[in-house]
Amino acid sequence: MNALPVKSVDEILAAVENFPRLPAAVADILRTLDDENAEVDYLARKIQGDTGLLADVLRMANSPRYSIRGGVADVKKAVVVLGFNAVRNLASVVGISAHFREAGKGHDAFDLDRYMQHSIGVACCAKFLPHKSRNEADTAFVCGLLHDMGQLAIAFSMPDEFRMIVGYQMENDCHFSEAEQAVLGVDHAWIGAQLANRWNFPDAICEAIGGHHRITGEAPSRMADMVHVAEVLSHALDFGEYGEIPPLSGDAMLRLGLSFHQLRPLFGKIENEYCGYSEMLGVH
Amino acid sequence: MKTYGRNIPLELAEPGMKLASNICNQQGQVLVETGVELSEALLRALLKRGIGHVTVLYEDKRSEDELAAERAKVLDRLNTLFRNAGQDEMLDSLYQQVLEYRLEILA
Repeated sequence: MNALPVKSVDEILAAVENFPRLPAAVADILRTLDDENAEVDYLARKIQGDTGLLADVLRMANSPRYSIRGGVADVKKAVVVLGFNAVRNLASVVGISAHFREAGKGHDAFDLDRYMQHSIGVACCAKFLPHKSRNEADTAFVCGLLHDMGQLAIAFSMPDEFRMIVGYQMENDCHFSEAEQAVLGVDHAWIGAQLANRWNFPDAICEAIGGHHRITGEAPSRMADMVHVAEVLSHALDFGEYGEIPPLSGDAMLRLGLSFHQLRPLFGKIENEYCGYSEMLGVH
Repeated sequence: MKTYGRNIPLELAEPGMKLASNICNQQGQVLVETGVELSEALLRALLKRGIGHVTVLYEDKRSEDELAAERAKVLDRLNTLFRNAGQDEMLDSLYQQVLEYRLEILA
Protein backbone atom coordinates (compact mmCIF):
# COMPACT_ATOMS: atom_id res chain seq x y z
CA MET A 1 0.00 0.00 0.00
CA ASN A 2 2.89 2.37 0.71
CA ALA A 3 5.04 1.27 -2.19
CA LEU A 4 4.17 4.38 -4.23
CA PRO A 5 4.84 7.99 -3.31
CA VAL A 6 1.51 9.75 -2.68
CA LYS A 7 0.62 12.14 -5.50
CA SER A 8 -0.51 15.69 -4.82
CA VAL A 9 -3.67 17.01 -6.46
CA ASP A 10 -1.54 18.99 -8.91
CA GLU A 11 0.44 15.89 -9.83
CA ILE A 12 -2.79 13.95 -10.36
CA LEU A 13 -4.15 16.72 -12.59
CA ALA A 14 -0.91 16.85 -14.55
CA ALA A 15 -0.96 13.07 -14.99
CA VAL A 16 -4.51 12.90 -16.33
CA GLU A 17 -3.69 15.69 -18.77
CA ASN A 18 -2.09 12.89 -20.81
CA PHE A 19 -5.45 11.19 -21.20
CA PRO A 20 -6.33 11.67 -24.88
CA ARG A 21 -9.10 14.14 -25.70
CA LEU A 22 -12.27 13.04 -27.41
CA PRO A 23 -11.97 13.68 -31.17
CA ALA A 24 -13.05 17.26 -31.97
CA ALA A 25 -16.03 16.12 -34.07
CA VAL A 26 -17.44 14.02 -31.22
CA ALA A 27 -16.92 16.81 -28.67
CA ASP A 28 -18.66 19.28 -31.02
CA ILE A 29 -21.60 16.90 -31.36
CA LEU A 30 -21.87 16.61 -27.56
CA ARG A 31 -21.91 20.41 -27.31
CA THR A 32 -25.11 20.48 -29.42
CA LEU A 33 -26.88 18.89 -26.41
CA ASP A 34 -26.80 22.37 -24.94
CA ASP A 35 -28.63 23.82 -27.90
CA GLU A 36 -32.35 23.18 -28.41
CA ASN A 37 -32.01 24.60 -31.93
CA ALA A 38 -29.15 22.39 -33.09
CA GLU A 39 -29.45 21.79 -36.80
CA VAL A 40 -29.26 18.72 -38.98
CA ASP A 41 -26.75 20.43 -41.29
CA TYR A 42 -24.35 21.02 -38.43
CA LEU A 43 -24.63 17.44 -37.17
CA ALA A 44 -24.18 16.03 -40.70
CA ARG A 45 -21.15 18.27 -41.31
CA LYS A 46 -19.51 17.19 -38.04
CA ILE A 47 -20.02 13.48 -38.77
CA GLN A 48 -18.89 13.81 -42.39
CA GLY A 49 -15.81 15.77 -41.34
CA ASP A 50 -14.44 12.80 -39.42
CA THR A 51 -13.87 9.85 -41.75
CA GLY A 52 -13.71 7.25 -38.99
CA LEU A 53 -16.85 8.55 -37.31
CA LEU A 54 -18.71 8.73 -40.63
CA ALA A 55 -17.83 5.13 -41.48
CA ASP A 56 -18.86 3.92 -38.01
CA VAL A 57 -22.13 5.85 -37.99
CA LEU A 58 -23.15 4.56 -41.43
CA ARG A 59 -22.13 1.00 -40.54
CA MET A 60 -24.25 1.12 -37.39
CA ALA A 61 -27.17 2.87 -39.11
CA ASN A 62 -27.18 -0.02 -41.57
CA SER A 63 -26.95 -2.70 -38.86
CA PRO A 64 -29.89 -5.02 -38.12
CA ARG A 65 -30.71 -2.92 -35.05
CA TYR A 66 -32.30 -0.29 -37.27
CA SER A 67 -33.19 -2.49 -40.25
CA ILE A 68 -33.61 0.41 -42.66
CA ARG A 69 -35.05 -0.83 -45.93
CA GLY A 70 -32.54 -0.30 -48.74
CA GLY A 71 -30.00 0.99 -46.23
CA VAL A 72 -28.65 4.55 -45.93
CA ALA A 73 -25.57 5.83 -47.73
CA ASP A 74 -25.33 9.29 -46.16
CA VAL A 75 -25.92 11.03 -42.87
CA LYS A 76 -28.82 13.20 -44.05
CA LYS A 77 -30.76 10.18 -45.26
CA ALA A 78 -30.11 8.55 -41.87
CA VAL A 79 -31.54 11.64 -40.16
CA VAL A 80 -34.63 11.51 -42.39
CA VAL A 81 -35.24 7.84 -41.53
CA LEU A 82 -34.11 7.65 -37.90
CA GLY A 83 -34.56 11.24 -36.73
CA PHE A 84 -32.10 13.86 -35.52
CA ASN A 85 -31.95 12.60 -31.91
CA ALA A 86 -31.33 8.98 -32.88
CA VAL A 87 -28.49 9.91 -35.24
CA ARG A 88 -26.93 12.23 -32.67
CA ASN A 89 -27.10 9.44 -30.05
CA LEU A 90 -25.62 7.02 -32.54
CA ALA A 91 -22.74 9.39 -33.36
CA SER A 92 -22.16 9.97 -29.63
CA VAL A 93 -22.13 6.30 -28.70
CA VAL A 94 -19.89 5.15 -31.57
CA GLY A 95 -17.55 8.14 -31.19
CA ILE A 96 -17.21 7.76 -27.42
CA SER A 97 -16.83 3.97 -27.47
CA ALA A 98 -14.19 4.08 -30.23
CA HIS A 99 -12.29 6.63 -28.15
CA PHE A 100 -12.56 4.55 -24.97
CA ARG A 101 -11.40 1.44 -26.84
CA GLU A 102 -8.34 3.26 -28.14
CA ALA A 103 -7.48 4.76 -24.73
CA GLY A 104 -8.09 1.49 -22.85
CA LYS A 105 -5.88 -0.63 -25.13
CA GLY A 106 -2.96 -2.31 -23.41
CA HIS A 107 -3.96 -1.45 -19.83
CA ASP A 108 -4.21 -4.94 -18.42
CA ALA A 109 -5.63 -4.04 -15.02
CA PHE A 110 -8.51 -2.21 -16.71
CA ASP A 111 -11.39 -4.43 -17.83
CA LEU A 112 -12.45 -2.47 -20.90
CA ASP A 113 -15.37 -4.67 -21.91
CA ARG A 114 -16.88 -4.52 -18.47
CA TYR A 115 -16.36 -0.77 -18.37
CA MET A 116 -18.15 -0.46 -21.72
CA GLN A 117 -21.00 -2.67 -20.51
CA HIS A 118 -21.36 -0.52 -17.42
CA SER A 119 -21.24 2.77 -19.35
CA ILE A 120 -23.84 1.54 -21.86
CA GLY A 121 -25.97 0.15 -19.03
CA VAL A 122 -26.03 3.44 -17.13
CA ALA A 123 -26.66 5.34 -20.39
CA CYS A 124 -29.69 3.16 -21.18
CA CYS A 125 -31.09 3.47 -17.64
CA ALA A 126 -30.57 7.25 -17.68
CA LYS A 127 -32.24 7.57 -21.07
CA PHE A 128 -35.44 5.88 -19.89
CA LEU A 129 -35.92 7.82 -16.66
CA PRO A 130 -38.81 10.31 -17.01
CA HIS A 131 -37.49 13.42 -18.79
CA LYS A 132 -38.71 16.94 -19.43
CA SER A 133 -37.59 16.96 -23.06
CA ARG A 134 -35.91 14.92 -25.80
CA ASN A 135 -32.76 16.96 -25.27
CA GLU A 136 -32.72 16.03 -21.61
CA ALA A 137 -33.12 12.34 -22.47
CA ASP A 138 -30.23 12.56 -24.98
CA THR A 139 -28.06 14.42 -22.48
CA ALA A 140 -28.80 11.80 -19.83
CA PHE A 141 -27.80 9.06 -22.29
CA VAL A 142 -24.47 10.74 -23.08
CA CYS A 143 -23.82 11.48 -19.38
CA GLY A 144 -24.33 7.79 -18.69
CA LEU A 145 -21.75 6.93 -21.34
CA LEU A 146 -19.21 9.38 -19.94
CA HIS A 147 -19.92 9.30 -16.20
CA ASP A 148 -17.02 7.00 -15.27
CA MET A 149 -14.45 8.29 -17.76
CA GLY A 150 -12.34 9.38 -14.79
CA GLN A 151 -11.72 5.67 -14.08
CA LEU A 152 -10.34 5.15 -17.56
CA ALA A 153 -8.25 8.30 -17.18
CA ILE A 154 -6.72 6.93 -13.96
CA ALA A 155 -5.99 3.55 -15.58
CA PHE A 156 -4.45 5.31 -18.57
CA SER A 157 -2.33 7.92 -16.86
CA MET A 158 -1.60 6.34 -13.45
CA PRO A 159 -1.55 2.58 -14.09
CA ASP A 160 0.36 1.74 -10.88
CA GLU A 161 -2.10 3.65 -8.71
CA PHE A 162 -4.96 2.06 -10.63
CA ARG A 163 -3.69 -1.43 -9.77
CA MET A 164 -3.48 -0.41 -6.13
CA ILE A 165 -7.06 0.89 -6.22
CA VAL A 166 -8.29 -2.40 -7.68
CA GLY A 167 -6.36 -4.29 -4.98
CA TYR A 168 -7.73 -2.08 -2.21
CA GLN A 169 -11.27 -2.57 -3.43
CA MET A 170 -10.91 -6.36 -3.55
CA GLU A 171 -9.37 -6.47 -0.10
CA ASN A 172 -12.00 -4.27 1.51
CA ASP A 173 -15.08 -5.24 -0.56
CA CYS A 174 -15.83 -1.52 -0.82
CA HIS A 175 -17.09 0.78 -3.54
CA PHE A 176 -14.55 1.85 -6.17
CA SER A 177 -14.75 5.52 -5.14
CA GLU A 178 -13.81 4.63 -1.60
CA ALA A 179 -10.75 2.75 -2.84
CA GLU A 180 -9.79 5.71 -5.05
CA GLN A 181 -10.11 8.10 -2.11
CA ALA A 182 -7.88 5.83 -0.03
CA VAL A 183 -5.16 5.60 -2.70
CA LEU A 184 -5.37 8.98 -4.47
CA GLY A 185 -7.34 11.23 -2.11
CA VAL A 186 -9.74 12.03 -4.98
CA ASP A 187 -12.13 9.82 -6.95
CA HIS A 188 -12.96 9.19 -10.62
CA ALA A 189 -16.01 11.48 -10.47
CA TRP A 190 -13.84 14.43 -9.54
CA ILE A 191 -11.16 13.56 -12.11
CA GLY A 192 -13.77 13.03 -14.83
CA ALA A 193 -15.35 16.40 -14.11
CA GLN A 194 -11.95 18.13 -14.30
CA LEU A 195 -11.40 16.61 -17.75
CA ALA A 196 -14.94 17.39 -18.93
CA ASN A 197 -14.48 21.02 -17.86
CA ARG A 198 -11.17 21.31 -19.66
CA TRP A 199 -12.74 19.85 -22.77
CA ASN A 200 -15.51 22.47 -22.64
CA PHE A 201 -18.34 19.99 -22.36
CA PRO A 202 -21.78 21.45 -21.60
CA ASP A 203 -22.20 22.27 -17.90
CA ALA A 204 -24.89 19.60 -17.48
CA ILE A 205 -22.40 16.90 -18.53
CA CYS A 206 -19.56 18.22 -16.33
CA GLU A 207 -21.89 18.40 -13.32
CA ALA A 208 -23.31 14.94 -13.91
CA ILE A 209 -19.83 13.38 -14.15
CA GLY A 210 -18.66 15.22 -11.03
CA GLY A 211 -21.79 14.71 -8.93
CA HIS A 212 -22.92 11.18 -9.71
CA HIS A 213 -21.58 9.73 -6.44
CA ARG A 214 -22.36 12.69 -4.19
CA ILE A 215 -24.90 11.35 -1.76
CA THR A 216 -24.45 13.73 1.15
CA GLY A 217 -23.95 17.47 1.48
CA GLU A 218 -24.78 19.99 -1.18
CA ALA A 219 -27.39 18.79 -3.68
CA PRO A 220 -25.89 18.03 -7.08
CA SER A 221 -27.57 19.00 -10.36
CA ARG A 222 -30.67 17.30 -11.77
CA MET A 223 -28.53 15.50 -14.37
CA ALA A 224 -26.12 14.27 -11.66
CA ASP A 225 -29.13 12.93 -9.73
CA MET A 226 -30.31 11.13 -12.83
CA VAL A 227 -26.95 9.50 -13.53
CA HIS A 228 -26.69 8.56 -9.85
CA VAL A 229 -30.08 6.80 -9.87
CA ALA A 230 -29.36 5.28 -13.30
CA GLU A 231 -26.10 3.83 -12.00
CA VAL A 232 -27.77 2.19 -9.00
CA LEU A 233 -30.48 0.78 -11.27
CA SER A 234 -27.93 -0.49 -13.77
CA HIS A 235 -26.12 -2.39 -11.00
CA ALA A 236 -29.42 -3.83 -9.78
CA LEU A 237 -30.15 -5.04 -13.33
CA ASP A 238 -26.63 -6.50 -13.26
CA PHE A 239 -25.31 -4.81 -16.40
CA GLY A 240 -21.59 -5.50 -16.50
CA GLU A 241 -21.94 -7.91 -13.57
CA TYR A 242 -20.03 -5.73 -11.14
CA GLY A 243 -21.52 -7.57 -8.22
CA GLU A 244 -22.53 -4.79 -5.89
CA ILE A 245 -25.15 -2.07 -5.58
CA PRO A 246 -23.51 1.27 -4.75
CA PRO A 247 -25.02 3.46 -2.01
CA LEU A 248 -28.23 5.20 -3.11
CA SER A 249 -29.16 8.78 -2.30
CA GLY A 250 -32.79 8.80 -1.20
CA ASP A 251 -32.67 12.59 -1.63
CA ALA A 252 -31.82 12.20 -5.33
CA MET A 253 -34.89 9.97 -5.76
CA LEU A 254 -37.06 12.52 -3.95
CA ARG A 255 -35.69 15.46 -5.92
CA LEU A 256 -36.47 13.62 -9.16
CA GLY A 257 -39.85 12.53 -7.79
CA LEU A 258 -39.08 8.88 -8.57
CA SER A 259 -39.90 5.53 -7.01
CA PHE A 260 -38.62 2.14 -8.19
CA HIS A 261 -42.17 0.89 -8.26
CA GLN A 262 -42.89 3.52 -10.89
CA LEU A 263 -39.75 2.58 -12.87
CA ARG A 264 -40.52 -1.15 -12.84
CA PRO A 265 -42.47 -1.17 -16.18
CA LEU A 266 -39.34 0.30 -17.83
CA PHE A 267 -36.99 -2.56 -16.85
CA GLY A 268 -37.82 -4.61 -19.95
CA LYS A 269 -37.33 -1.64 -22.29
CA ILE A 270 -34.05 -0.77 -20.61
CA GLU A 271 -32.76 -4.32 -20.97
CA ASN A 272 -33.74 -4.42 -24.63
CA GLU A 273 -31.98 -1.14 -25.28
CA TYR A 274 -28.90 -2.34 -23.41
CA CYS A 275 -28.78 -5.60 -25.37
CA GLY A 276 -29.27 -3.71 -28.65
CA TYR A 277 -26.37 -1.31 -28.05
CA SER A 278 -24.08 -4.01 -26.65
CA GLU A 279 -24.69 -6.19 -29.67
CA MET A 280 -24.25 -3.30 -32.09
CA LEU A 281 -20.96 -2.23 -30.48
CA GLY A 282 -19.69 -5.79 -30.04
CA VAL A 283 -19.40 -5.47 -26.26
CA HIS A 284 -19.63 -8.80 -24.46
CA MET B 1 -46.36 -25.02 -21.65
CA LYS B 2 -45.42 -21.59 -20.30
CA THR B 3 -44.81 -18.78 -22.73
CA TYR B 4 -42.94 -15.51 -22.50
CA GLY B 5 -42.50 -12.48 -24.75
CA ARG B 6 -39.15 -11.70 -26.32
CA ASN B 7 -38.16 -8.65 -28.30
CA ILE B 8 -36.27 -9.70 -31.45
CA PRO B 9 -35.05 -7.98 -34.63
CA LEU B 10 -37.60 -8.30 -37.42
CA GLU B 11 -35.27 -10.40 -39.58
CA LEU B 12 -35.22 -13.12 -36.91
CA ALA B 13 -39.04 -13.24 -36.83
CA GLU B 14 -40.55 -16.18 -38.70
CA PRO B 15 -43.99 -16.96 -40.08
CA GLY B 16 -46.02 -18.81 -37.46
CA MET B 17 -44.68 -16.83 -34.50
CA LYS B 18 -47.29 -15.01 -32.41
CA LEU B 19 -47.05 -11.42 -31.23
CA ALA B 20 -46.66 -10.91 -27.48
CA SER B 21 -47.29 -7.17 -27.71
CA ASN B 22 -48.81 -4.67 -30.13
CA ILE B 23 -46.72 -3.36 -33.01
CA CYS B 24 -46.99 0.41 -33.11
CA ASN B 25 -45.67 3.03 -35.52
CA GLN B 26 -43.54 5.94 -34.35
CA GLN B 27 -46.67 7.96 -33.58
CA GLY B 28 -47.82 5.20 -31.21
CA GLN B 29 -50.69 4.00 -33.40
CA VAL B 30 -51.28 0.26 -33.22
CA LEU B 31 -50.46 -1.40 -36.56
CA VAL B 32 -50.86 -5.05 -35.50
CA GLU B 33 -52.40 -6.30 -32.28
CA THR B 34 -51.08 -8.72 -29.66
CA GLY B 35 -51.85 -12.36 -30.40
CA VAL B 36 -51.74 -12.06 -34.20
CA GLU B 37 -49.75 -14.80 -35.94
CA LEU B 38 -47.02 -13.54 -38.24
CA SER B 39 -47.29 -14.52 -41.92
CA GLU B 40 -44.87 -14.01 -44.84
CA ALA B 41 -47.05 -11.18 -46.14
CA LEU B 42 -47.26 -9.48 -42.75
CA LEU B 43 -43.49 -9.70 -42.25
CA ARG B 44 -42.95 -8.10 -45.68
CA ALA B 45 -45.40 -5.32 -44.79
CA LEU B 46 -43.63 -4.66 -41.46
CA LEU B 47 -40.26 -4.51 -43.23
CA LYS B 48 -41.69 -1.92 -45.65
CA ARG B 49 -42.98 0.12 -42.73
CA GLY B 50 -39.48 0.22 -41.26
CA ILE B 51 -40.38 -1.79 -38.13
CA GLY B 52 -37.06 -2.89 -36.58
CA HIS B 53 -38.09 -5.12 -33.69
CA VAL B 54 -41.12 -7.20 -32.71
CA THR B 55 -42.02 -8.92 -29.45
CA VAL B 56 -43.04 -12.52 -30.06
CA LEU B 57 -44.18 -15.37 -27.83
CA TYR B 58 -41.70 -18.10 -27.03
CA GLU B 59 -42.49 -21.36 -25.35
CA ASP B 60 -40.57 -22.05 -22.21
CA LYS B 61 -39.43 -25.64 -22.53
CA ARG B 62 -37.88 -25.83 -19.06
CA SER B 63 -39.28 -28.29 -16.53
CA GLU B 64 -40.71 -27.19 -13.17
CA ASP B 65 -37.49 -28.32 -11.47
CA GLU B 66 -35.33 -26.33 -13.87
CA LEU B 67 -37.49 -23.25 -13.32
CA ALA B 68 -37.21 -23.65 -9.56
CA ALA B 69 -33.41 -23.86 -9.89
CA GLU B 70 -33.46 -20.68 -12.03
CA ARG B 71 -35.57 -18.88 -9.42
CA ALA B 72 -33.12 -19.89 -6.70
CA LYS B 73 -30.25 -18.56 -8.85
CA VAL B 74 -32.01 -15.22 -9.34
CA LEU B 75 -32.58 -14.87 -5.62
CA ASP B 76 -29.01 -15.81 -4.83
CA ARG B 77 -27.60 -13.28 -7.28
CA LEU B 78 -29.81 -10.47 -6.00
CA ASN B 79 -28.78 -11.22 -2.42
CA THR B 80 -25.15 -10.98 -3.50
CA LEU B 81 -25.73 -7.69 -5.32
CA PHE B 82 -27.55 -6.17 -2.33
CA ARG B 83 -25.28 -7.67 0.36
CA ASN B 84 -24.00 -4.28 1.53
CA ALA B 85 -27.27 -2.38 1.04
CA GLY B 86 -28.16 -2.39 4.75
CA GLN B 87 -31.51 -1.07 5.94
CA ASP B 88 -32.66 1.28 3.22
CA GLU B 89 -36.29 1.60 2.29
CA MET B 90 -35.63 2.61 -1.32
CA LEU B 91 -33.03 -0.09 -1.92
CA ASP B 92 -35.48 -2.60 -0.41
CA SER B 93 -38.03 -1.43 -2.95
CA LEU B 94 -35.48 -1.71 -5.78
CA TYR B 95 -34.65 -5.25 -4.64
CA GLN B 96 -38.35 -6.18 -4.62
CA GLN B 97 -39.03 -4.68 -8.05
CA VAL B 98 -36.05 -6.38 -9.69
CA LEU B 99 -36.92 -9.68 -8.00
CA GLU B 100 -40.52 -9.53 -9.26
CA TYR B 101 -39.29 -8.57 -12.72
CA ARG B 102 -36.84 -11.49 -12.84
CA LEU B 103 -39.31 -14.01 -11.42
CA GLU B 104 -42.11 -12.99 -13.77
CA ILE B 105 -40.90 -15.19 -16.61
CA LEU B 106 -39.87 -17.99 -14.25
CA ALA B 107 -43.19 -18.24 -12.40
